[in-house]
Amino acid sequence: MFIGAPITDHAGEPLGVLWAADGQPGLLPPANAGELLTAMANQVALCGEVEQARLQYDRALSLVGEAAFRCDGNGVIAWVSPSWATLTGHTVDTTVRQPLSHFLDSDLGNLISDPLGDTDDAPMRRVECSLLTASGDGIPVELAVTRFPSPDTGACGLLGVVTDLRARRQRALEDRHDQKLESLGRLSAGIAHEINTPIQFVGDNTRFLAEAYQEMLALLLVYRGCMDASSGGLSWEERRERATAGEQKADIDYLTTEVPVAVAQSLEGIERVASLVRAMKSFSYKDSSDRSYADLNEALTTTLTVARNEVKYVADVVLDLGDLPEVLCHVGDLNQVFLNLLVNAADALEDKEERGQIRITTRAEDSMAVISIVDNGCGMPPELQRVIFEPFFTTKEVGKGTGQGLPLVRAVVIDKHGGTIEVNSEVGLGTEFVLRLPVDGRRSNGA
Amino acid sequence: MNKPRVLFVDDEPRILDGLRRSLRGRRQDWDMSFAAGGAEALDELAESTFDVIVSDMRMPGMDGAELLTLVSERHPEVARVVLSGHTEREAAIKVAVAGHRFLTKPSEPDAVIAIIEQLMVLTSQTHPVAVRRIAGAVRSLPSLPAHIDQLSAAFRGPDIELRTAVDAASHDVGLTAKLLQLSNSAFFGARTRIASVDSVVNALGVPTIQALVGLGQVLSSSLAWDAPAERHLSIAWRHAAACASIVGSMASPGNRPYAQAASLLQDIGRFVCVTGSKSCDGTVPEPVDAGCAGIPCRDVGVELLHLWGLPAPIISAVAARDTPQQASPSGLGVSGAVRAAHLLLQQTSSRDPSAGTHEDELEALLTHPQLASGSVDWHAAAAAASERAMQRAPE
Repeated sequence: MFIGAPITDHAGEPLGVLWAADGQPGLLPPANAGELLTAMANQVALCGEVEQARLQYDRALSLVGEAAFRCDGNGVIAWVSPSWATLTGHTVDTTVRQPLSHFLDSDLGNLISDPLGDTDDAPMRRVECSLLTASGDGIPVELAVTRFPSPDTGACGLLGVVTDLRARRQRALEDRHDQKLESLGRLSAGIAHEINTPIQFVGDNTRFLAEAYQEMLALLLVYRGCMDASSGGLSWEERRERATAGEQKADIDYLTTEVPVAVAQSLEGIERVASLVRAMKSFSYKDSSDRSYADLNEALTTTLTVARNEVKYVADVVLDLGDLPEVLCHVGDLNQVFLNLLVNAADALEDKEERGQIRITTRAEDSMAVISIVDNGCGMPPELQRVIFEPFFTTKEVGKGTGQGLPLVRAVVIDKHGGTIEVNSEVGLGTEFVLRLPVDGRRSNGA
Repeated sequence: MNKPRVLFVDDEPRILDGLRRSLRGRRQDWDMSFAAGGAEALDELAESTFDVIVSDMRMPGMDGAELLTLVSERHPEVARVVLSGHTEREAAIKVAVAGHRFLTKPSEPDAVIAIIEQLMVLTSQTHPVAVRRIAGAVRSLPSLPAHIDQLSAAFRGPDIELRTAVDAASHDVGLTAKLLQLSNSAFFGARTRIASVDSVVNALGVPTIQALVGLGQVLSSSLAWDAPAERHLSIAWRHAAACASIVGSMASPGNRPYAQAASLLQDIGRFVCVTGSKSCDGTVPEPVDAGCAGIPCRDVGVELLHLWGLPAPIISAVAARDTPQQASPSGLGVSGAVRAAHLLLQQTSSRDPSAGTHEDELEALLTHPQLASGSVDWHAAAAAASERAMQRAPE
């Protein structure tokens, strides 16, 4: 026997009929079979509508960002927008039913398949990661992902929108480049001075040495004259007198003490220029897009050498560098960060009556490298502390600051290295910047 | 006679050591002292007399500009030389006002020696030390009240017309002298000696001059002047400006910039005597030519130009303005041209009342081939120049 129930959409339009037949003759259908069947028919209708809605939803999603995707509760891709293929080079067929993590750099892939944490508070999460294309390249992208409730399995699927970051990165790179140029302009005058000074005294010493050599040579000739066999008629007394007169003329005592010092100071001057040139080379080291392990103590020392002239007239720098493991980072960017903080510290000390102090401390703390830069300068009131990281905010006079220094510090430390910045400042007492950088270059959970 | 004494100041001990060694050859001729900072230098200066101070610019504590400013006030007889490795314009301009001469690091010992020896020379035959003290105290010269507005308009606007800037600068005695002082120093990028304001403006660049003017120390207000002083200087300026405008066509092309500068600066000593120095009471000397306490203004002016290192032909011509000149067949020279222009203007309303007319000398000078060859009516040219100057600084 058959029983049937009509399937209608929400407006009551018939879509079809759901039939049921007994598979075992003689068995009576349950009394509520009709009700059951109607309920099933309604469910089928709902599924159809949900499917319709889902199609519309997917179509809408396709319009957002560079591409969009949907995953089931296991992180397997269930759907991608057509533009996914344009962006990644993967076809829709080769993408769907693959785990999302196949297309992302691995650690971030895990992050996404993890539950999103407390999704009531953070219904959406943005993650920057690299999306692998069919040709094997990684495209820097931002994924905006949200939990997609999937009542049938109870697990949460993911909905995600992909934004291509390449253009934005390029702009950021240019901004950073601008800031680098700005600080380079400021540094170049100081570096010129740091080179001109040793060149002046090395030149002076070398000229002195040339004269000293002439005087020594003249004395040598006097000695030679005294020793000459042809002057055999000379008495020993007379020879000694000549030699003594020659020594006095050459001021031999002065030369004996002064020449070695002049040589030592000249070598020191040459080393000063050489180490400055080395530091400049290392400071302006062009970061590749890959991170590498670097000694941050060394980076700080390098930056200090390059910026010595910015600091030395206003402050003594105390270096308290602890044992630091090498940190996976973009060291060129961090140099720039250290430079900006150092220059700010020096500027904070400029109007101080007595000579200030800048203390640079490093230490390892769990899996973080902690760098603290403290000055005992003018300090900042709380309202100022709130805005210092805003782009183009500056308290410096026109031509001295453009308000791009601390925004860069923030971009590099927090956004690029997953670190943190702590600012402690009190008016009249000074300012401390504490940077915490994950040693392995990974943002710790909850950061 | 005591040896001249030189004081070197630098916060970098290696620099002092290097100078001590490389200048050792001068130890028979000079006494040299070395100070590691501004405060120490002032102590040295308070203890004994020096002739020349050579100071670094950027030093912790008291910087070079501050030190040299104090020296100009406390020890105006000490000639002030800057020896700096800094290249920023901003800092350079600060020190430009305080120093007499400027050397860059690195400088060769010969260059250092040459400048120090020049500055050991005192130009005044009659009152060498007193003249040095008056001229040495000068850091900049005020502009005539009538010119302040013109200069401000020319240099302080956002868009500066090069022509207007040059015109304004080249009519101001103090600014012209300051610009020539700076431009003849490698410190400010000059490679060859420059004598015309036109090329100074080109060499230094308008922003530098703007900064100099904006610093206010060069364009200092002359409100403190009393009316007779202002009238006196207006007369001197009219004469100088009118001379400068005709002397260009009287001098040979090579001498032209020197002659123009010398004409404009011919009475710079009066600006110093009437306004600049503490040694004078700021009243108009009577008779006007007498200068301060019996010291002739001309001597003070020549000493100032010498301290500031202006080119020698300019200084000689200023020194010789009141000396009768002969039309030497070899050429009029800068001094001859300036003297001829001066005498021509003596016959106009822009005359210098303190100087004579010397008509016979003028007639003789005008027969010089350099002046007689063209068909220029010099008297008419002088009258026209006088008229223009009267318009620029009316009575």
